[in-house]
Order: sequence, then structure tokens, then C-alpha cells
Amino acid sequence: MSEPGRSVESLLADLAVHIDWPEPSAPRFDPRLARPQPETPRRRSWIPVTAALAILVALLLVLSPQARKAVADLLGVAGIEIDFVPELEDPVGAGLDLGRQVSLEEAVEAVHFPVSIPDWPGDPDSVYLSGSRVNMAWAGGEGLPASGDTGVGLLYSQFRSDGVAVRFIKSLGPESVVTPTVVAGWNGFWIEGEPHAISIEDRSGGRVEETLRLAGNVLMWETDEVTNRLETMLGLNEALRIAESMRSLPDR
Amino acid sequence: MSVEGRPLIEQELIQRARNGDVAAFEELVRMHQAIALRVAVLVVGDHSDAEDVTQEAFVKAYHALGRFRQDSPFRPWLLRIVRNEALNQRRRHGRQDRLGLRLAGDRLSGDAAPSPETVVVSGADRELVLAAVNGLPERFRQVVAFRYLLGLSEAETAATLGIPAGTVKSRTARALSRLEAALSGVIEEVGHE
Repeated sequence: MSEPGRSVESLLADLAVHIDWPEPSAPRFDPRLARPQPETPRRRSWIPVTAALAILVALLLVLSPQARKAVADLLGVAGIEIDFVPELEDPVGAGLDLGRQVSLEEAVEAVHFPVSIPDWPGDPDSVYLSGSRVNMAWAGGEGLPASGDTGVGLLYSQFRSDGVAVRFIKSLGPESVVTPTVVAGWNGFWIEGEPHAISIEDRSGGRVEETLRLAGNVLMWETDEVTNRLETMLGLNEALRIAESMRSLPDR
Repeated sequence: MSVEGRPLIEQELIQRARNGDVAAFEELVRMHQAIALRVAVLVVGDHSDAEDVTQEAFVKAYHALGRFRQDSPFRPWLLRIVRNEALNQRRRHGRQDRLGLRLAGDRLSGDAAPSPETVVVSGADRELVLAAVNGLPERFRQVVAFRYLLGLSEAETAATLGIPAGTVKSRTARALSRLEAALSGVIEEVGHE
């Protein structure tokens, strides 16, 4: 039996060898290559402190059931049994006004752009939908320092950019610094120093104020369809590693 | 090409380039320049613009090399940057999203050689095939272009486009069936030759 797809494939093979492809010229030296590669930025001094605190809190959490059991044993009140049930914890990012909590699948279903997640730290702990914006939150942990008392280590927002390029970002933090950067070839901005909000001006002159949730740093970049924003306590290099590992989720 | 298939020399060049050896990076560029240019042409169409795109993308890649994961294949990592830079440029110029390819006439292009599967196709039919590919929705057109016009593997296409391999597979199947429907006349003609 003949395979109809085979004929299409052979037509494509024919097309491939008849396309007017450009001939590579000899690579010319670009003086920008002489600029040394940026070194991994030194982590801010408070990060080890935060990490140490996180470990301490984790240790306390591990130890607390035994500690409480010991207290119960000490009490030794006859007829009273103390049951230890797992605490009903709020989902990661609850209270940050991130929208309605949904599953990853629901988020993919609800919006009209490809939803992405990073290879690391992998699937988000919580996903929220706010209008047509997808917000994802990861709890702080190893390699992902948490922000303040939110417990959130990483926040990732994605929304359709409608082909309107971000032209200008003004950081509204008192001491924040905006640096242009590149995410896998896409243009982006790195805003360091606890900005409270950022203001985006699009090509048509419209200005949108973006509220930030974590008192950390912000990496913002635009792909052809989506505006992406990471909020993190990490430095630029680590944030770029996460951003560059983004993969869109499978088609619905 | 998989990681396993990556020549040792490439790994050495990457390592040297990461340590600031510009000559090693230029050698890497030379190895991947032709395919990078083709990726850029797929997006921006114009050859001279594609040249500018690749030059810019190579500079961006050089400065991002420190974040390249050595256990992953280099070519799709580089091509992803090239494609994204090409999309940046296309958007800057407000160009339309279409396959900006043209045919080379009777001569075979570049270093291409006809594969055993290559069939005899008239120039007019070839134009129809190109038009049919161009008529596909973007998400289908790009996988067809990467798989069949650039000859990238499923895994390389997935890594370059930043989508799962399963998505490449399903989009390819759907794209081929659309092309089959659009080109039924041409397919029959070829079948009788």
C-alpha cells in the first residue's frame, strides 16, 4: 500500500534543495566579542543569611511534631489524647493577589498563548489566573531563596503582548537599577534593587503600571507572543538560567 | 545531531570560548553559520537582513555561553538564539509573518544534493509546493520548515522552537496531512511520472 504522506515528504525534499539559501560569508570579527563575558554576579550578602534562616525554619518544622509530642508526654494528662494532623497550609502565593487558583491544565486551556514553564525549578507549586494573565508561584527552597514572609521563591507571570513591543520601562523603586539584557536572543530588562512597581510604555505610547509582589529583583522579556516577568531573590545569571530554560507546554 | 554525536572538537571549542577564546568561538560560528543563516532567512526573508541577524545573534550567544549547559546539544541552543533575534528584527521592521523563501531556479542550492527520495518536479509544481507550505498556519509551517527544509531532527526542532518533542511530532503530522490535501493534484502528477 502506498503512503500518501511519503509523496508530500518527497515534494518537501525537492523544495529544500531548490530554495535560494544564502551563502555563508567568511565570519567577520565583531569588536563586541572583545568585551569579556559577564561574570556570574556576586550574590548579595543577605542571600546566605536568608538561606541559613530557611534551613533553620525547615529544621524547626521537622522537629516541631516531636517537640510537641514531648510536650504532650510531659503533660501526661490522663484521658486526653493529642492528635497531630498535618496543617492545612495555604497554597504558595496565596494572599499575593495573583488571581484565581487553577491547575496548570486549566491555565493552558484558558489563555490564547503558549504557556511556558522552566526546566528548573520545574512545575510550579501554584498556578493562578488573573484575567488572561497566568501567574505561577514556587515555594522557596534549595537554590531558591524565599522572599520575606511570603515563602515564595519565584514568581512567573505571562501574558499576551499582542505584538506591542515594550519600549521603555521605568522602575519606581527608590534605588532600583534597570539594565538591558538578553534572554535566549529575546530582548529584556533586569531590574535590581527591590523595585515596588514598574511602568511599561508600549509602542503606541500607552503606559501600564505593573505591580510587583516580591521585594526582590525582576527579569522581564518579550517573546514574539508573550510578555514574561520573573520576580526572584536570585541574581541576574541565575534568573537568566531559569528564563532560558522555558519550554512551552504541549498543545491542547 | 544528538549530544552523543557532537564531535569532540565542538566540545573543546565551546569550553575554550567560555574561557574567553574568541578564535574558538569564531570556529564554532563557522561550523554553524550556514544553518544559522537559513534559520534567519526563514523568518526575515531577505538575505542581507539574515546576515545582520546572525551576526547579532552570534554576539548574543557569545555573551550567553556561560549559561550554556554542556550536557545539552549546542546547535539548537545557538539556533534558538538566532531565531529569536530574527523574530525581534522582524517585529522591529513591522514585517508580516510569512515564509520569506524564494526558489533558486534550476540550480541546486548550496551544498545540497538530491536525496534518493527526491522526485522529478516541474518548476511550476515546486512553486505550488512552496505556496502550500507558506499557506500553513505559523505553528505548522515552522515545524515543516525546520524538519524538512532545514533537515533538523525532531529533538533539535523542539529545542530550537522551545516546545516539547511530542508537540513537534503532532504538529508535523497535522501539517503533512494539510499539505497532502492542498497538493493532491501535484502528488498525483508526481505519482504518474
